[in-house]
Amino acid sequence: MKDKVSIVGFALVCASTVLSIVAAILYNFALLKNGTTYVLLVIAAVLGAAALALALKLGKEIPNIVVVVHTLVAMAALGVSIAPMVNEIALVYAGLNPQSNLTGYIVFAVFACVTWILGLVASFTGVTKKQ
Amino acid sequence: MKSRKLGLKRGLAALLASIFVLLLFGTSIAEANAGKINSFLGTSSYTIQKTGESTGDGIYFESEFKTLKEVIDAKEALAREISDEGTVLFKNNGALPLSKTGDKVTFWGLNVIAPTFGGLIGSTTSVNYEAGQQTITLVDAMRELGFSVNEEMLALYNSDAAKPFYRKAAFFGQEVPGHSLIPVFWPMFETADSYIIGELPANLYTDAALNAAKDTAAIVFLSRDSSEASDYAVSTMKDPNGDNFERPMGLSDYEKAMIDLAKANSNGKVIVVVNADVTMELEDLKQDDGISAIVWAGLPGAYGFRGVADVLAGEVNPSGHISDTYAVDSTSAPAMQNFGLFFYTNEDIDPANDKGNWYIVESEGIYVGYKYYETRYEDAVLGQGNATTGAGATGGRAYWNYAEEVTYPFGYGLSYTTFDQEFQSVDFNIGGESKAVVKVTNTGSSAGKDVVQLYVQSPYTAGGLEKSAIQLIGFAKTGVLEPGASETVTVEFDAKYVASYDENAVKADGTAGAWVLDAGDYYFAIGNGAHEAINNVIALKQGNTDSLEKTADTDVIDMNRAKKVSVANKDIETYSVGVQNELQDGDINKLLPGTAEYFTRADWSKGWHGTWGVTANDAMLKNLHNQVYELTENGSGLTWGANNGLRLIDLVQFDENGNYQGAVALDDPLWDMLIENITLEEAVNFMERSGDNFDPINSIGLHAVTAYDGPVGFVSDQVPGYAVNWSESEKDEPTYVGADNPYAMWQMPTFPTEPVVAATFNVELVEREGELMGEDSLWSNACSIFGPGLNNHRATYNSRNHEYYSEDSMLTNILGVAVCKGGKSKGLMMEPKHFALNHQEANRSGTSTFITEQGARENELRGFQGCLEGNYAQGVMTAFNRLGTVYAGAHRGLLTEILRNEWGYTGYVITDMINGPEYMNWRDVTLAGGGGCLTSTAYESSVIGSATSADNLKKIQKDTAFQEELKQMLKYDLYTFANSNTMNGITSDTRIVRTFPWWEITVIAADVVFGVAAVALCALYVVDLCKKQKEN
Repeated sequence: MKDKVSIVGFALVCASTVLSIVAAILYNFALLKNGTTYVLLVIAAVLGAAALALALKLGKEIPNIVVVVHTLVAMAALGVSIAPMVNEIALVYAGLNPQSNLTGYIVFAVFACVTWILGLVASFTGVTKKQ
Repeated sequence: MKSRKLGLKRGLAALLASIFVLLLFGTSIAEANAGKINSFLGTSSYTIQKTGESTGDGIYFESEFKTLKEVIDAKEALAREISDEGTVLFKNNGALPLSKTGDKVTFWGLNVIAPTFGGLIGSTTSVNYEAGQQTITLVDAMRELGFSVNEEMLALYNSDAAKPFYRKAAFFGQEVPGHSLIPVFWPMFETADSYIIGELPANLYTDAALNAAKDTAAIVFLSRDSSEASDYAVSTMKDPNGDNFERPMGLSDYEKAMIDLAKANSNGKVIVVVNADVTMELEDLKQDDGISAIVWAGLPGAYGFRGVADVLAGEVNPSGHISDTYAVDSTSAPAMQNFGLFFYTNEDIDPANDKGNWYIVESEGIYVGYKYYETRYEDAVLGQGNATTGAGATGGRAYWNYAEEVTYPFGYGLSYTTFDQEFQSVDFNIGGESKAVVKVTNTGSSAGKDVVQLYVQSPYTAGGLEKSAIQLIGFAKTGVLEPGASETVTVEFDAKYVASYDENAVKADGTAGAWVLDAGDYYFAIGNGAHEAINNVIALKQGNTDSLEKTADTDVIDMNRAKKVSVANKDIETYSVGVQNELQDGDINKLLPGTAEYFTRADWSKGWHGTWGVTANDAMLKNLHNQVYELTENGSGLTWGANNGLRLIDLVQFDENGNYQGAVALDDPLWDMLIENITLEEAVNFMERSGDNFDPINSIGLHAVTAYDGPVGFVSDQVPGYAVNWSESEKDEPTYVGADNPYAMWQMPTFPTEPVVAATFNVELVEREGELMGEDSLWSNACSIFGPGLNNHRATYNSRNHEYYSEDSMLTNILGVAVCKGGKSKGLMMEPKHFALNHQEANRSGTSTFITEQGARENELRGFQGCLEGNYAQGVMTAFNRLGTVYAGAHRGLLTEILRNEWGYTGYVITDMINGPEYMNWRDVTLAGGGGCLTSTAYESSVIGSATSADNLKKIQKDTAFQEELKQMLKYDLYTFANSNTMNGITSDTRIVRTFPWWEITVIAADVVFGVAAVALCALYVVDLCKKQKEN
């Protein structure tokens, strides 16, 4: 007998999956883009979708594990995106790049963070729970 | 309940694993920037240990001083001496020198209380006030000399009423007085819209201050600042404090009103002091009888105002000569037609990632600075080349007249005494040594030094090869001559610098491009600046002084100060061995025929417009889109990691007494053997992380090599004090500075800026400056400096001109040799920059600079040539811009063909800060002979990634051609290091040991803790899961 779907967890992963796609789109408007970030965000989205599908089809604990991996990949995407930005952020912080526009990156980073947080919360709740 | 516990463990595992992932990225970034972090925290990731097998002390370059205090005192004294000789007297109706006992002085001009000492970033003048170090303003210096000062005026300037008008800016989060221009690192920026002059409105001058000024000598202080990564804009700048000006180089309304007040409230002596490295517009002051004297101080560093005061007080006789042309209108030079922001019309060039959609066309060719004004002057006098037409005339006049174009010519400068220069002989030998002999006699009443400036005019044929009517070829400075005393001065020069570059000349070997000495009459002339010299030439040519215009009443026109040497045959071979065209891809008209109208002597009415709206063709677009070299499998690979036991110290030679003799010759096969010991990963890492700190190479015993900005001394944001680069393990070295040294945290960048140094025209003084920078190197344990700046002053609106000597390439060439020679004598690796054609800061990253090969070689490259060809400089930094559409740091013609093959340069090459890793990418840089990349993987390319990534290392392992270039780069680098003071302290038993400073331990510990915690929770989760499944 498969486990039943957790409404809260399912909603969280739904949102997280959609947001990882949105973050990937938003990353297009960031400074100093990095191809790996796109790839990781797409993987995160795929994993999120896979978790949802598995929750519906299979139940049990596997989709919950997939959600954990989805969360980690989202975090990795955020981490990878920071590396090329370090110097730019440092210059802006030092007041040396007043005209440098970090808005695009910040918006992306916020969405990537929210993606991760939703995934993290879903990791706690799970997308499936015992019947 | 159990399900909840499972969820909790799953969630916590996800949380900890996420943090662990983030920490791993953080660790990677921290490791990539370890050099900077260590420098900031005063820690080190390596220590030097000795096994005790060697008895040598390993000190190969010794200090001439016993204590750090002696070094500091010597620097302070030299800075004063440089300003003594670099301060230029433009005008004097007898008001100067001032009398210490008879003249009370009033300082006018708000900037006098916070003057501009230097630039920002590379040439930031800085001292550590908290450690007891001081800067000296002109007010301080005059007080030190015993002058009585109008304190009421200073009180006004220090009052709350004046504070809103101060010129000050925020830099690194701190307020910087004396500066309005602020560095902008983002590669593109809009035209600057604000500039704070820093002057008080006239209505704020109080009666008390004005009354106290009466019966005092007025010292009017005018100031403009300078900065890296920022430019002046001609017409868009406004003063947010309500002041108005037509151009930032001109006088503002507040300044004019202040000068009027000074004239009305003084004892009749009104002395203007110009605190600016950019050429301000001084014509009105020159013509104003109410202005008694004009003195140019430049940006004189922390102590240089003492030299300015010495000149004002007559403690020394002024002997400085200005290194740029002071035009009536600062925008009248041809270069200003194409200065600023120009964009390709192609819409598919991405400014952020390609960094390539902007360009400048240097359509002026060779006619930069005086080479334009004086050449057009001769053509105007001789009635040729449409020189007198109104094209380019100041103020839109219908005619062009030199006297209305130039205020003070290049090389001009007055003295309190008078000198007679007798041009005795000139010996011009093509292929041999050339010299001129001049007898200088002090015909005045006070002792002083004089400068002999030797100029040459080459034969010009209308419509033929472009030639400047006059060019500096050499100079020499006398010692102090007492009244009536004489000194015979010999000016040695190299005939190769008289030659012009003809890209159409075909040599005997069939290759195109040659240094040409045409048959005909060569005129050598001396004079107080380029204008006197050209007047002397014209006078000799036409046999009279008719139609010749003086710059000032003091000018001398004398045909005996010019000599003619006739050359019977044209020579295109002597100075062209191994030379051929290498920079044709920098000529816009070769890439896109008919795009630009170049300036030409044949018709001065041409060229007076910007080259707008260039559309790049497909070949150009490939470069502008930064198409990168693809690593391929070729050849059979090279040997790496051989472990043959050879170490860098083994290639250092000693005489029978154990004295250091430098490294073995570069062509010694031992270098190849040594480099075989390096692993490929070490080599790639070294290439990618050069610059601020060259990473160590443990396999050959090379410790981290330090390199920092900049032209006026090691900058404080990179080396905040003498003690910071030393570790306890080096305390036995004689120049070791520990934290307990009272001068441990004194800062080093205190010398006057380069235009002031240039104005001395004193080779010995400049060589001494290099020596004392070398002393700083020995006492701060920093081995390489990003300086001097040797770009030419193409346009005065480039606010980085303070890092470069002059608009003239020969003055730059000669002084570049001198300063690098001085530094090298102390083992300091001096690293001239920015090679080449870095002529504006606006959109400097990736700018396509288009120029003819003749223009590039005769002006910009000639400035670099002396110190690089002679290997006095041991490093060279490439420029941010492109040459044509190819990044200058990856231009093979420039870096391999000209620099290495033509000039025989054996030092290292390094990029400027990676400020766009797509166009400044490590693959193209390496392949072109561009050397190491300054800074690290923080700038990793998003297209090709880090060189040290597993994927790239795997590809490099198969690419023999790339490996060959890597080995060549390593050979030059290691050879240079072995000939420098970075070897101090290294003996045959030295071992470089990896250590972990506290921050690295902390970071690694955090990785481990979170890693273990994440794994533990995952394990617990899995165990619980299994249990649960069993239960089910």
